[in-house]
Amino acid sequence: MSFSEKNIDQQSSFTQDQSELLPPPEAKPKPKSPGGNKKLVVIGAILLVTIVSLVLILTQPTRTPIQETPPEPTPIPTAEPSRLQQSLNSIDLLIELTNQEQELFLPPPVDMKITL
Amino acid sequence: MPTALHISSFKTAVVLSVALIIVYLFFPVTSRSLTEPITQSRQDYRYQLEQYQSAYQDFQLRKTQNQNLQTFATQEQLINSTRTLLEHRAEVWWTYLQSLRIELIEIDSATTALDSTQTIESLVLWQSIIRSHSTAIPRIDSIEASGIQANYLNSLSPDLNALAYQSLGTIRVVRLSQALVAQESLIKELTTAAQNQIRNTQSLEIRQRGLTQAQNRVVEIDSIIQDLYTDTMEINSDSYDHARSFQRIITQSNQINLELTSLRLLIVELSQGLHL
Repeated sequence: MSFSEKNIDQQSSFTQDQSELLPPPEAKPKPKSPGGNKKLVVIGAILLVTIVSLVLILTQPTRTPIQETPPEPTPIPTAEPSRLQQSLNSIDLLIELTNQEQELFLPPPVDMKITL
Repeated sequence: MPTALHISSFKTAVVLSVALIIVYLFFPVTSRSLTEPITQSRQDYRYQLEQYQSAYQDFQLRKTQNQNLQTFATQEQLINSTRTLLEHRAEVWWTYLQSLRIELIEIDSATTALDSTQTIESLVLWQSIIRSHSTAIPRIDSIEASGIQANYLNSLSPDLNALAYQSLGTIRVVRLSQALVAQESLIKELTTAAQNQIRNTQSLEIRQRGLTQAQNRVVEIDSIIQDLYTDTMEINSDSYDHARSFQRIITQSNQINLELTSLRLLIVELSQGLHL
């Protein structure tokens, strides 16, 4: 075997060895586990809802209703006329209640003498 | 890379979170408006009255059918219909008394010299009588038995009506008394304020005279309210005509209301220049 023939033979065997070590060129990378991302997203979504729920539950007792926040009272330099007005308003309410009271709430209009 | 499914999951989570926030914000408001005991009890009463009216129409129909055909089937239908009618009639009365009771309990908790305990106890007693009557209704199995149960509540109706009018009168009189107590309290406060704030002797005397006059008016109105309360408590089944007695109480209470309105105007006049 001449030198060139020997060289070619060595090259051929080297190429063969390399081809055993490297992945075939047409082989695609191994896919990741199916649904892995999906699971993460679902867990993330559940966590988000849980956190929001917990925050809402934990903050509820100390929360003051938005609609009931009284407006900041305007300070009036001369005493407190609002207290007099408040008393008068409660009196007005009682008078008004008595005026409209019960006229529509008389005993039930039912037939007590049912004849068969 | 997130797929359409992933995006959809996130969107669902966001929608759920927003829904939770909305429920959190609005639920307490809704529940508050539905838990007013008096309003709720009156709604219950109106509902029961509608149920009764529907049952009464059915009863009239079955009665006519039975009168015309006189068969075993029409008789059975009439018995069933009567049973339903009597049950609804009892329920209407029970919810009506319950509504009066709730209202009396509510106003009784406020400061007043008048006692409505006796009326509340009567309401409780009559509610239990109605419940007892209701338990006998399902056992009705004949036209005769239907007639007996129908007449039973009818025999109690004078007492029931008297109790209803007494309760209505008590509610009205107690409210008048509460308005008067509030005005009396205000007059006392104004009297103290006048002594502390009016420096001019002549002006103070004029104001004090007016306040004394208002206080005397309070005593007079209180006496009328007390009489009215006595009249209200005297409404019972022995009354000649308790509906008429009640009407008299309403007329008198309207007059007292006018007196209270006039006293209120006097208080406003007397409060001029005074700071409470």
